[in-house]
Amino acid sequence: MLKALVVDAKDNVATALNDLNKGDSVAVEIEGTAVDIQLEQPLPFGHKFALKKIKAGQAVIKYGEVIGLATAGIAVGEHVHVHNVEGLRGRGDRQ
Amino acid sequence: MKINGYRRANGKVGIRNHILVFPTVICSAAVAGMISRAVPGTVSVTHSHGCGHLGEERGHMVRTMAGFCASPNVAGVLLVGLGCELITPEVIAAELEKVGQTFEIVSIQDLGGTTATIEKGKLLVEKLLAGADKAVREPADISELTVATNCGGSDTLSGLTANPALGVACDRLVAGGGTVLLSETPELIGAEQVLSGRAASEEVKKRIWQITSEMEAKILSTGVDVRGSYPSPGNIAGGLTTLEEKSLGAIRKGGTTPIREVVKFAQRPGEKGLVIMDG
Repeated sequence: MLKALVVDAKDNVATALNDLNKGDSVAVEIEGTAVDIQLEQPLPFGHKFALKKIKAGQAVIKYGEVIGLATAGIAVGEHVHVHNVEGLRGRGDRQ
Repeated sequence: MKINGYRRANGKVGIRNHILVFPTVICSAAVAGMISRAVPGTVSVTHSHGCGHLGEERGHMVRTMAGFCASPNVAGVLLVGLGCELITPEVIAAELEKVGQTFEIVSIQDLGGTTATIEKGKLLVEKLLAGADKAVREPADISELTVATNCGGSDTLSGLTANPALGVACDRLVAGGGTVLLSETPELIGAEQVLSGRAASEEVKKRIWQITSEMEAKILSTGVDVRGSYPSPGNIAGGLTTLEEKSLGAIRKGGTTPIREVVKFAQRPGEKGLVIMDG
């Protein structure tokens, strides 16, 4: 059974379709090629992990579109969420 | 493709046959509810508006109430007012007359109080109900159908499964000549590039960016980080990280067809196909 979903070939994150464990090897399809990603941490259902190395300040891409920028370097297989990504829109706190 | 619907006197087609007991102000909501509960087969809705609205907000309220009451899913409506409110039954009735919707009016202060209003309201609703009972379903072309999508609560899978599935249904309705409404402007922020890329004209493209930038400016003017609400704590627990991610999932419920028009909240679309409502 599929353990994670990549929505668009341009994406650098995948969404977990089960609760996944640290060290799990998750098969995903990137641009038609099956790739195994080793998870760096346990990951709850519905959360994202990196398919590629993402440097601090680089775009995080899902649906083929930018969903935010990395606030820290993110390794392949690392949990990608509010602790290391920030949105750029509606940020009244920056005004 | 055909649907079975109720052809109204004004030519519009509904798929429900409701008799609505509608308070035009919060102050008459309890009485409207009592009338509705006394006559099985009718529905009443409550809202917290109808008085104290100024300027565009008044227009917004009148459009919303009149649009709701004029839905072809409503065979007839009893408008219930208090008497001293800003948006009286007569204000909504004038709008319903323009679109040929069947209505009756009661107003509590005119009739001398709650008890008399309930008695008169019951009689009027029974008359409306008798009219609705005569309506029969008949085949109508699916191009006569307008469906509005609604916020379903973003979660882990909404942008991956439920919304794309609803989007397929919307695409099919649009292919059949029907109309789909996509709304909730805060959830278009971060997805404008996708939507405006599908704009049917330069004007529509401009309007898409206009409504989202106005909404974003409102958010920014509060000085608050939108991430306290978009995404919500529940969204974040489910794995959604940013407003942009939430929006990109949300817009999928409208499907993939060109955006034909951008309308104000509760404004009736002039175009068929996929239409964005600023809300």
